[in-house]
Amino acid sequence: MTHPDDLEADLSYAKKVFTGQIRFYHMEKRYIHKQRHVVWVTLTASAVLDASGQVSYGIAQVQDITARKNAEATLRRNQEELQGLAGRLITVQEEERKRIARDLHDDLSQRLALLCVDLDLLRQGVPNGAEGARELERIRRETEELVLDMRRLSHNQHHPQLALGLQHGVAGFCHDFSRQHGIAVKLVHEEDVKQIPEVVCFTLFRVLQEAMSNVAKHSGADRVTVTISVTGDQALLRVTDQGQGFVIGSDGGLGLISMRERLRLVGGTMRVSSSPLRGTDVEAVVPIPISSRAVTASV
Amino acid sequence: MKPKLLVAEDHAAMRAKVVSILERDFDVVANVAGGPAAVEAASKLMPEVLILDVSLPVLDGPGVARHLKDQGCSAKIVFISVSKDLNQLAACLEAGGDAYVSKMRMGTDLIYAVSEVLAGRRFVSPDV
Repeated sequence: MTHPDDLEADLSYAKKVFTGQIRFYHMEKRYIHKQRHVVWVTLTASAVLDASGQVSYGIAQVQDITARKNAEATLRRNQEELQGLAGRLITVQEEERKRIARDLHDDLSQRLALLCVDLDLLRQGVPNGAEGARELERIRRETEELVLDMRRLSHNQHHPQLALGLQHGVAGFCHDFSRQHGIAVKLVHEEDVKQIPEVVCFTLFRVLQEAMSNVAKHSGADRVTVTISVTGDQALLRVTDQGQGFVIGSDGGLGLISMRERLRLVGGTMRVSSSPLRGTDVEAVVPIPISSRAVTASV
Repeated sequence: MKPKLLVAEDHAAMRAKVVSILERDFDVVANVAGGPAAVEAASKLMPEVLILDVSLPVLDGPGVARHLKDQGCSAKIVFISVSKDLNQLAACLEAGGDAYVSKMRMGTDLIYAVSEVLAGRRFVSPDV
């Protein structure tokens, strides 16, 4: 017996064949077995006409494809499970990074700042020009540089403003990047990006860090444009510079593989356009599940 | 009589250092490790100057400042932080801060900053 959900389509095609509108049809449909389980088949049906062009009888060929359909369903479930695990992996990794960042900021940078204070107090007891005064000042400067490096390291692990959403994290990062490297950053938000799920935010933020690190190290550019937007059911991050570019294929060490790998975990893709003296354009696109968007938007 | 001060800093060694720098010239009436404790102690002990770490747990330094200012607290506020971020400095001043001292420069700047705010002036560490 044909499954009720497939009956209407089947009858509609059959009617067209028997009224001569189409010669044959081919469809996947379900039957309900007499033991009440579903059997998937492919059905190919056609009409045989007599000499006057009237239908004299029909021919139907049915092939059982239940095993293939079950395998496809299992594959789909496994892919969904894998996607879920990848999401959890990214979340756990970000939690770990946040913990390291907190340890760096909450303890190590405070202790280094304390060293600076102690060195200043020690220096106050040493007369100007005395032996050791300059050496104390040098150690003091080195220690302060360590504090600032520690802070940068902490922010690279986890930017505190990312907790407020991708928009804030990206803005904070671009601000720090601009100050650290002297490269002007133009940040463009094309839409409200609050609706991007957290796991996608983490991924796009990491891709941004890697892409901007390439801009600072290799491009020689004095300005860069960062765009984040949501278009339809896709989140997009784009980093464009007018620097010296590179020949695609000679990009070993630019971290493009790790960026692609990160994106793959959330079903995203990356496109890189570059050529010598014409700058580089990196575009990462990640699909956003409609359900996630709805849930996030209602919060 | 020495002016009364309150110190709020969550890192224990840092808190001890702040107190040791200040206690010769000022009367440190309380030292606490968190934002809510700072609000409670300030409301009770009425210090003339609050030394607030920017990144206090639960309620951060600017949050403590806003809360106390809303309650009508007239104490002067000196923020201390490892960060030299200008956005953070602006947020601290907006929250009612009178001074912002880089923690790396507390050995040279902290006593001076407290004296300045007590005299009705503002102070920001020169390396910020």
